[in-house]
Amino acid sequence: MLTALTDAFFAVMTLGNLAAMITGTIAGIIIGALPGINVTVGIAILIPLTFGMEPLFALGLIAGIFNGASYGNAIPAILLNVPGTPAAVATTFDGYPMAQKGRSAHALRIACYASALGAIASAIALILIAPPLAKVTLLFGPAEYFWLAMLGLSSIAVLLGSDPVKGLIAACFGMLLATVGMDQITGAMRFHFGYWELADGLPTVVVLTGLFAFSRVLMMAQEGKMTGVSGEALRLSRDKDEGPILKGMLPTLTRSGVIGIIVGILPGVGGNAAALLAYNEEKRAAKDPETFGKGNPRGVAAAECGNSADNSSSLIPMLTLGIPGNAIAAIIMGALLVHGLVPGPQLFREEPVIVYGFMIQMLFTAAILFVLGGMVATRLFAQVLRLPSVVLVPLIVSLMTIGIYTTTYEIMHLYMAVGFGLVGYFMIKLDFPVAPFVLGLILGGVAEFNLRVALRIARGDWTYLFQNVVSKILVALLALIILAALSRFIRDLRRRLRDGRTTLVERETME
Amino acid sequence: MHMKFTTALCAMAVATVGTTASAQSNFPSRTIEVLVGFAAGGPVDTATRTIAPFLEKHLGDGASIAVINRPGAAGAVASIATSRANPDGHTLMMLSYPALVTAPFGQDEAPYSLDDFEFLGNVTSDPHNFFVAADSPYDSLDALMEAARENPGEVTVAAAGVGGAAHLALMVFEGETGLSFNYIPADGGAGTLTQVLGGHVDAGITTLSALIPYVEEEQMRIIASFAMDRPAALPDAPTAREQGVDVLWGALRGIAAPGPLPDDVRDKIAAAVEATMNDPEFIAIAERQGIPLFYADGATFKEIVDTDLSRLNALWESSPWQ
Repeated sequence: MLTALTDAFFAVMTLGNLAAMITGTIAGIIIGALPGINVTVGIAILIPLTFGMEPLFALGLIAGIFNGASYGNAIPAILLNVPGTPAAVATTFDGYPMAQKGRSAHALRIACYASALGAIASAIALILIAPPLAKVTLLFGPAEYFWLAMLGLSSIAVLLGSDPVKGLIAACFGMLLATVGMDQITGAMRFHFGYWELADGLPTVVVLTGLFAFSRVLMMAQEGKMTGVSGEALRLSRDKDEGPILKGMLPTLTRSGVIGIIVGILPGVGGNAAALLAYNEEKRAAKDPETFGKGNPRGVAAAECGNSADNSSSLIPMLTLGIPGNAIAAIIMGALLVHGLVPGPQLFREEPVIVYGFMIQMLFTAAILFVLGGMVATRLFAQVLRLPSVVLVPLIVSLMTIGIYTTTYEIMHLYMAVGFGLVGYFMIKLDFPVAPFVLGLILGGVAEFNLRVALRIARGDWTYLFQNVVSKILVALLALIILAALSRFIRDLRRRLRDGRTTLVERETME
Repeated sequence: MHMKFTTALCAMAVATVGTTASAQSNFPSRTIEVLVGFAAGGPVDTATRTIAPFLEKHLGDGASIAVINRPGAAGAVASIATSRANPDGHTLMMLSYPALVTAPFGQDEAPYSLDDFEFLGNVTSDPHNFFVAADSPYDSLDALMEAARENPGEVTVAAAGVGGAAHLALMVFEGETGLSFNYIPADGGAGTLTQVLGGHVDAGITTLSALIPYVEEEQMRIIASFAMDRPAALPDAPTAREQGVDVLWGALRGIAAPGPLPDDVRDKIAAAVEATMNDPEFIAIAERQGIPLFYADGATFKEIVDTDLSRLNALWESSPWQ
């Protein structure tokens, strides 16, 4: 493996391949920063152009786009409260409040370095421990996936915010919408109202773009700022009191990095959930959870590190087993096939230079982010804030429309984005938290499908759900989370009775 | 990004103007769109993107082709779009069969009829296969069938998508042998492989092209291929037929168009498909990518579809799968 790695290293370090990686990373940052255009689309569009390229040149571009986009999506999230891709939803929670306090440049730098570090950790995991990690994927059968989804759903408890009832309503609303489409067990159509376009369920990317990006655009339009932020107010230069950007963030980055890598390896959960789960965990573990959502730099770091740490690790099942775990891995697998490279264990033996070369490219493009994102992109993109919303709003809406339409050529998805934009707008206005909705939508379907498949395999014997070691570990974790939440609830209840206050809601709002 | 964007603009322009333009012998007068019912990067998409430049070459006249992904409902979204498109040859589809005929089953209103399509030539044929993990106790079709005979409905078999091609392969197999298995819906072909590799199910059914690397690596074993003969790539993989179970089943992919096309347009495209399938350069590239080529002209293609449809209708009558 060491010889393969060194050979691959020199194969990657040609002038052409370096240029491909840098170009790809810049393109990725831009793709990530444009709302509505996500990394899957970016790479899919590139693939036909790579037919005639050298494999490592094409893969360098792809690696760059992949890693670049996972930082790029933070830029509009922080500056405008509009996530560039759904994976940056959690970045808006603390990134935008930071920007509002005039610390946008600081937030961008944190996002950049956290993204880069997450992506680097993930690439190292890919290079060093891909084969054993791939075996972990296989340990997860339907029962294990069910518990994993339950674990993710339970983390909603942390997100509930000041009004648990509204949070639960939002989560249930998400789980309800996850039932739309063809029932994968019986083939029956559910809530499709005769539209075949809904057979596969609501397209998550479209729903999330509408819910988070379009709704925020509506808010911007309503505020109707006729002038942008002045150059002075942007404060691009480093604050004197800022100190080292990532000071004291090692625990944050470690936690989010590990969560991102694990979520990445497991097919079907995906980067959108990774960032939210990392953010939840950070908030849960924090001594000062009340500062989250109000501009806590660690919130930005956790979200961005989480959504980048799943990049390389999501390629592990595809490269080692030939099983693509998500849409991006499937597209990259297509790109490999075009060049006659069939992913799977034999690829490591037959084309070690290309496999390891691609892994090194994932690492290298993550490192490029430090330089490009930190120095160039951050300064450049922060200028966006200087535009008045009369210019910004139509600009973002046009980009979103083009992005959504070119993904599937489905006009219905545009209506959906607008519809969910309105839903999101009213959720914000009525103070419903949106994050529980997202986790409900993403994980509700995973939980339902896998529970039913597991019970089908066991022919209705529910003890099957607790049979394997992995299941038992997951159930234990789940029990811990629920017990912790319960004990907190009881403590609150006691204190409230002692204080003679009537409701939890009232206490929270009074504080 | 530019390419797709211009394509999108073209599509919009066409949507407004195109309806009035009728196809005459000036075909092709603009970009030809080939719809793919699956996401970019999958086998159908890869096959389409590989054949597209060769179709351009053999159509001549500076023809240009844009591959458009319209994923959804196992290809049904693209089929519906194709059936409703202007039959002037500028909208084609990489048809995926049997998804084309199975999608309308069990629906109150069929979204299209087979007569809406013009079949121009088949491109690939990928047989389905019964397979097990290499360390499975069921090391032959006989062993698996024996287990199913002893414990009806208990042997678990993973296959993608209820009512999809792989699931129907299992149903056809059950119909032929009179056995009953416990069908486990899997999340696509990738999900099927994970379920079997992880030992969560006893066996699986998927296409040959997806299995070849695993069989070569001795991680999986094909116990029965639903092909006519043993696959050239895996001469050790037995067919179901040679083991006394007469099941032929596979996925066909070919070029289709909304019908009826003007005769000259239809002949021109059909000739381009045939010329492509005989083009040594195309054959070489397809082989390198593991695309299982199988040419049949439009009429033969239609015949295969019609024959299977009557069989599926009979199957649906006896045991509807929804």
